[in-house]
Amino acid sequence: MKIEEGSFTAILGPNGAGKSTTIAMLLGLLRPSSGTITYQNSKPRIGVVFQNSVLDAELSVKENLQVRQKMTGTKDQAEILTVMKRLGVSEFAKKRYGRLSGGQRRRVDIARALLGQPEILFLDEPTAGLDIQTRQAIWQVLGELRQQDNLTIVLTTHYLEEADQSEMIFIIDQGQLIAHGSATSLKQRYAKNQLVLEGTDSETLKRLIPEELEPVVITDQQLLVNPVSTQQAIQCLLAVQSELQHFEYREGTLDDAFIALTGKEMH
Amino acid sequence: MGDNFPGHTQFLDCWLISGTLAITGITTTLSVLSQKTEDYETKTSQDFTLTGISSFKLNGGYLLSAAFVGFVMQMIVFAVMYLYFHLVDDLQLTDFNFGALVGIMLLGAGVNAVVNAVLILFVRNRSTLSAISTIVGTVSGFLVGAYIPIGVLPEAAQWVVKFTPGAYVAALFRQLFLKNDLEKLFPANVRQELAEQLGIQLKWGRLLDYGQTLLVTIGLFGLFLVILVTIEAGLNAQRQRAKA
Repeated sequence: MKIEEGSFTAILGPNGAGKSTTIAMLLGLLRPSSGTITYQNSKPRIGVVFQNSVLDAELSVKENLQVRQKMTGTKDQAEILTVMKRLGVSEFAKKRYGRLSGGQRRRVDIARALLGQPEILFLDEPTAGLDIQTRQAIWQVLGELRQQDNLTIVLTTHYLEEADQSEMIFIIDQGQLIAHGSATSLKQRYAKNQLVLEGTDSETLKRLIPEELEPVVITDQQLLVNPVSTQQAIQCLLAVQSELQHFEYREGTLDDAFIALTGKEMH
Repeated sequence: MGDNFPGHTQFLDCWLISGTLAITGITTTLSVLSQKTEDYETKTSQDFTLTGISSFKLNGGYLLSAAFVGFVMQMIVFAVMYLYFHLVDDLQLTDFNFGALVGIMLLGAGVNAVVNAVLILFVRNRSTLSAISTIVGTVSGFLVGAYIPIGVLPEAAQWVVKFTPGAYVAALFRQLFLKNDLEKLFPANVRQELAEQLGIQLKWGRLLDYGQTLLVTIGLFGLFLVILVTIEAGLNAQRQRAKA
């Protein structure tokens, strides 16, 4: 696995695939049983957001950040104000962390990880358990951080639509790297487009379609074809035009690629 | 002891206060130290190590906060008990060395924080810890002789008492609170026996006086501190190796 500086990388895998373990090894908390991890700078500044929040529920947002900063041995009030502003947590800076909503907490978690100007930000399931709006908001913040600070972001997720937005995806399962590449290339290689054709009789439809497309009969009326391109799909439709009553076309998604690769559904 | 001598009520009140203060020092420090186990269980401690903070500072932090809370809780327990016995039994502490009381509370908080830290060195989850807390809470009451006088315990249990730092702290409290009354209320021939039976003085061949008890407590403090630091350093080295 190679992660480029300033890139946005997602590590994708089903529960128990080894995502958190990978992060722990990257952080130096666990020793890999084989292989090595090297960073460009021997000691990069790292920020982490763990899967389970490690902040103190009884302390306010600001106090949490102050305690964290003290542990790193610095005291810079301005930095705290800056990260709070960037993550939009200033309005509830005095509220207890434990009383915040899930989305607010996550933003504070990220603010805390940004203390000490990290070069690399690791996030373990940053959006797990959050609603769609919050997930999008977090995603947007991460995007901004990356652009403005040239921050390298590595995150794990099991939301495929999120991984869709990152530049590089590593799919792992049972501790093995099974595929990697951009979302587009993964979809092209592993996800099949689906064309469902419906007529009075699926056998009649089947006879009209060229053999090499390997049509599959689903029901008495329905037929499934996996065209490799939109052009092929149109040709296929034209061929059965006379018998066709209804059709449905869906391009391959990351979900399809994932299922094709791991042989199981997400979640 | 019946109602056959004056001042007996106050004598027993003070005996109860001493024992309760000794237990408070044990149980409250342990419950503060449970934060360490909790941090381990929730992986918060992993997060701490990423800040580059030293293990010495981190563990020192747990110890100091445990000792601090233990001290404050003893103050509160003392205030509440004294107030109650003052109202109910007209207990009065005249000619009493409050400086020494604060000193023993501080020493007790420190000793018990360290002893408990050793006790939970290998406890990695909260359910184990809560079982241990229950046991410590119960056993400590007997070992410092707060529930029943030490003299009533079987000999084997009395041996364990001699290795319990909390028992020496309890003895220090009792000597502070009861020494005057012991001399005022009882004839010389029963004083020694009573001091031993009630855990006012512990016996190492002969009864330890105040200075000796203090020395033993400080000695045990040092001993447990050395044990703690050694094991913690060992664990730390192990973790470093695991990371490398």
